[in-house]
Amino acid sequence: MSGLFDDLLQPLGDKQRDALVAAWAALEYSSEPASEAALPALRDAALRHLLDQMLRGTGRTLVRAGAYLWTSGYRDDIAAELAANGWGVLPPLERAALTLVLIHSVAIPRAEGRLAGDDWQSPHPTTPTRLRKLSQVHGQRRLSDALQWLRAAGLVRAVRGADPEMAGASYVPGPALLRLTPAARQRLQENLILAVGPDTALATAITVRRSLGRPRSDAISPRSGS
Amino acid sequence: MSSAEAALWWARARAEGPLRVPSATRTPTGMLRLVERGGEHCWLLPRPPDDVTPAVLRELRMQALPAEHPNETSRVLAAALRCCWIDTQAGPWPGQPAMVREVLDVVDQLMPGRGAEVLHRLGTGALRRLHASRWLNVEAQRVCLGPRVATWPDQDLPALRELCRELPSPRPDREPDR
Repeated sequence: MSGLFDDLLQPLGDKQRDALVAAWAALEYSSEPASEAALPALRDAALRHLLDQMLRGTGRTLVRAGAYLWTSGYRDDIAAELAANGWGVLPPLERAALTLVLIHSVAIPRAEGRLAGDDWQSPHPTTPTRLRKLSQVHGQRRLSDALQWLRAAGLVRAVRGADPEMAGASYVPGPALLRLTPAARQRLQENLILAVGPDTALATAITVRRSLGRPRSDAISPRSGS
Repeated sequence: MSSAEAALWWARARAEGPLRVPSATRTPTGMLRLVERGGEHCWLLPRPPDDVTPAVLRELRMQALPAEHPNETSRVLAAALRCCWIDTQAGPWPGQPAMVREVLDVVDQLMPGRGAEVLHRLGTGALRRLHASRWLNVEAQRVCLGPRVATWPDQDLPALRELCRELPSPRPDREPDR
């Protein structure tokens, strides 16, 4: 027995208990969202509620990742505390590289009407030309290390052959971004607006709304990868 | 410790990996506490429900995040286990310290003919990844098992003991590939 989950699991029969533990593992360990079709504990509303309680006890929560698909992510209150304490926050270079991918693969295509949805997934690769040649990130080796780290964390995914002008991998946002809660997705969008257009009317509106009492948070933190 | 505090500890361990804290720190509910040699610090690791491991993903036909260079990294971890897990009747953690050259010599015997430079490059990369993920602790030229090895469930230990028995020993006073 593992203490934290005893109260929730002990009253259950073996079948339900196994279903819950399997679903917990699928949500927490898998790189991709879990399907209701494969996991009874995600299909059954009562078991899904218990599953969410298991996750909430560890600072996590269920996150819907599409039709009949679920994953897990940090509770919004816990994410704010982690960020405030600097726990698990992305280092500056990793944050810069991820921001470039989010801008070129999501923000610009979304602004141009080429991308719908708010899940931070995209088929539009950020090319090495954008990442290395035209960006202001210096140090090719360090940038490669940062991208490797982001790839290992599931925050970006490598795509080959997308750049006719320059060799090297292109990147799209990784599956770990599906772990962002709706509030975290909105916060990320607002923080990007504040970063790239601080003098715009939209940025002013965000600043005013936040100053009226909504919680503030730093961009892209904590590491949602995991 | 309140449930809110425990939730924050668990989330922090999720974000940062195993947490090294002063030994006076109270153990959060449901976490495993591993006291280091010397006793001043300990590691805190989450204990999942029923000690379920990512191995269950295979049964569910799902995948974990892929490790970089998984084959080489696994071989280096196995070689470190061979060198550091001396008393195999006990659990693997904390084990005994070994030298990097001993670990690389075992890897050299597992993958002969790679050449010293290639072996050094792949070994250094794998040791860096295993150190970052706390499977090993690598300082200067010394390798110790990291706290994550303590999360291997008891039922997996017989297979790991068998693996260690089958692996070659480090050859005394020998640099790899010479």
